[in-house]
Amino acid sequence: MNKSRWKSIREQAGKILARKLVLFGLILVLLWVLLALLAPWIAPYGPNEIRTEDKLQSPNLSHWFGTDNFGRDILSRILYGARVTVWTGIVSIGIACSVGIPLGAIAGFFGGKLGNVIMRVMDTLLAFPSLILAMALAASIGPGLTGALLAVGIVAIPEFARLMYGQTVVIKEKEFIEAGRALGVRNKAILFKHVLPNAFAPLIVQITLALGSAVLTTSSLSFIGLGVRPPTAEWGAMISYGRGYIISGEWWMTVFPGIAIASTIFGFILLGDGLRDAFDPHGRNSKTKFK
Amino acid sequence: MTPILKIKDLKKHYPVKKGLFGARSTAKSLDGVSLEINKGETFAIVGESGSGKTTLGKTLLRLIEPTSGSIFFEGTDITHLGAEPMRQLKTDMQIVFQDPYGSLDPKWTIGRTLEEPLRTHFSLTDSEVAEKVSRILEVVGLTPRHALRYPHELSGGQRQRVGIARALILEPKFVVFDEPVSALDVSIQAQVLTLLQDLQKRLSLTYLFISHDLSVVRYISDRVGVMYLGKMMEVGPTEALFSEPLHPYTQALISAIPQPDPEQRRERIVLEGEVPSPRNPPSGCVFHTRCPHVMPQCLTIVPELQRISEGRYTACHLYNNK
Repeated sequence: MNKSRWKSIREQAGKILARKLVLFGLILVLLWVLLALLAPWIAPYGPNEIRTEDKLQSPNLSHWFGTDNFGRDILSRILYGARVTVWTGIVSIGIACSVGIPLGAIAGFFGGKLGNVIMRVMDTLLAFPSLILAMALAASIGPGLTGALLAVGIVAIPEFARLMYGQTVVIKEKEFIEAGRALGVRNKAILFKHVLPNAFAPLIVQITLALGSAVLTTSSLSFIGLGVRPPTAEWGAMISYGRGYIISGEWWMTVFPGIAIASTIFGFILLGDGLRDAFDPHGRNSKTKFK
Repeated sequence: MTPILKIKDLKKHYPVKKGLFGARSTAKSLDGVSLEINKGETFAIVGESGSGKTTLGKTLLRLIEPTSGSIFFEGTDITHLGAEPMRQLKTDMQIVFQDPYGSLDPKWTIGRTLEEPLRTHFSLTDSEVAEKVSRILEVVGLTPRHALRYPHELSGGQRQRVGIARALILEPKFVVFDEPVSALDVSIQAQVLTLLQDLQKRLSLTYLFISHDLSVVRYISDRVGVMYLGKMMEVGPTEALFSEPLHPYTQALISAIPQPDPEQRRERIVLEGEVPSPRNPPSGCVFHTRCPHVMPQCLTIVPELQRISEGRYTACHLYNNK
């Protein structure tokens, strides 16, 4: 890391944050991460603290977001739910990246029969609607957080593989890759030191957007009972408990977790779109720098 | 003089499929090129775009695998050398690419780019590597401070110097220059060419210099090979070839060089039509479609490269009975 590197990183960051919507997205995402980390200290009640005498209270001063049918504080459950969400996001996208990116890179770089087999398997996975596939996987692994994590991760693998495949195929035709070969650099080094770093920008965008959809898929799985087991506080599961009460007027049981899910996904999408614009190859180091 | 590099009947044919169900055919990018390059000389290859000169340069280093023929480097046949010995041979054979923008990894500093070949082939300490990098930067006319820069922070000429430094840091014996100056401004071209000559003298290098720029070739090379549609049309010492070209194609090329003296205007031979596609090259002599001296046998019989006088060869039926 030297001075000019820092300068270019600072410039990039400045360019990204100059867009208000991106900044807003980043703030939303960071806010949820922060709330998740601090949940045990800032939540007014325990997530599973049952007070039947307080059940089904509408939002008031002691329970800002109201209480559910067991008298559990919705606000506290949302804060603890954020922990589950952040955790599932990181782990499932971690799985997707660590499997999908190497597969795509290998398929793109070496091509041939192996590459063909890898990409056809990915196409097959991609052919199923992601929620249906996640449901099938979660059901076969068994309900629970681990099942949901794996399911969400596996569903996201093909997207990463396909993106990395496309990037690799483009980058490997660049002259600096041929230059590496001409210097006698080994394939492994070319792949990891030249191809991968040059595919970094679109990967970051994809990771951001995939985190958003991972939140949605996890919540959906929990909603239909394939995700976390009760009584764990999880946003999708909370909406699921609350859905029977919408008709009788206890809207807060569904609306607040819904807002939590929506705002998180919204944050990731804004951030991802902003990063995509900032990393756009045509805007890169050319327009702003030599203006 | 002993040849450092010798190629025999080298061919590179690319399979081409015409249409969805069309018949498979081949594009003959290199079609039977033979050549000897002597130690210490600069051999230039000239030709139009699509003549196969870049393919030739890359095939010599087996960056492109030849379809047939053989390549001898310092007497050893390297045509079928395995991946690992071929990789090690890269310390002796190097290439400088045409595009100084594309041939450097945009994410890497110049220093890291220059370290890569050293770290790939030798196990040196960090200080030895750093010393070699700063020395090579000075050799090509940059300063050690440039090691901290990224390619986009350098000018085209500086980048091409980095490309040259990267090829030379392994101390090779033989370097292919694939149009090293055609992407540079004329003033920078002169600097880089002088640098190349200087380096050749100091490090006793052998160059294969690929170019379409005849004045550059005349300036830098000892011998020239003229290529057209994947075939060698004429080979000869630079001065002799430029003052008295043998092959009609070479004659046309040389007549196209602008003359500095307007009094000494000479007849310009203007070639008709376009270069035929290498996918569907003409029968017989590939040049017959545009040749002003075309004869009946040119349409059917492929002329072989024949010796005309000391060191001069041409592939043309005009010289058959001389």
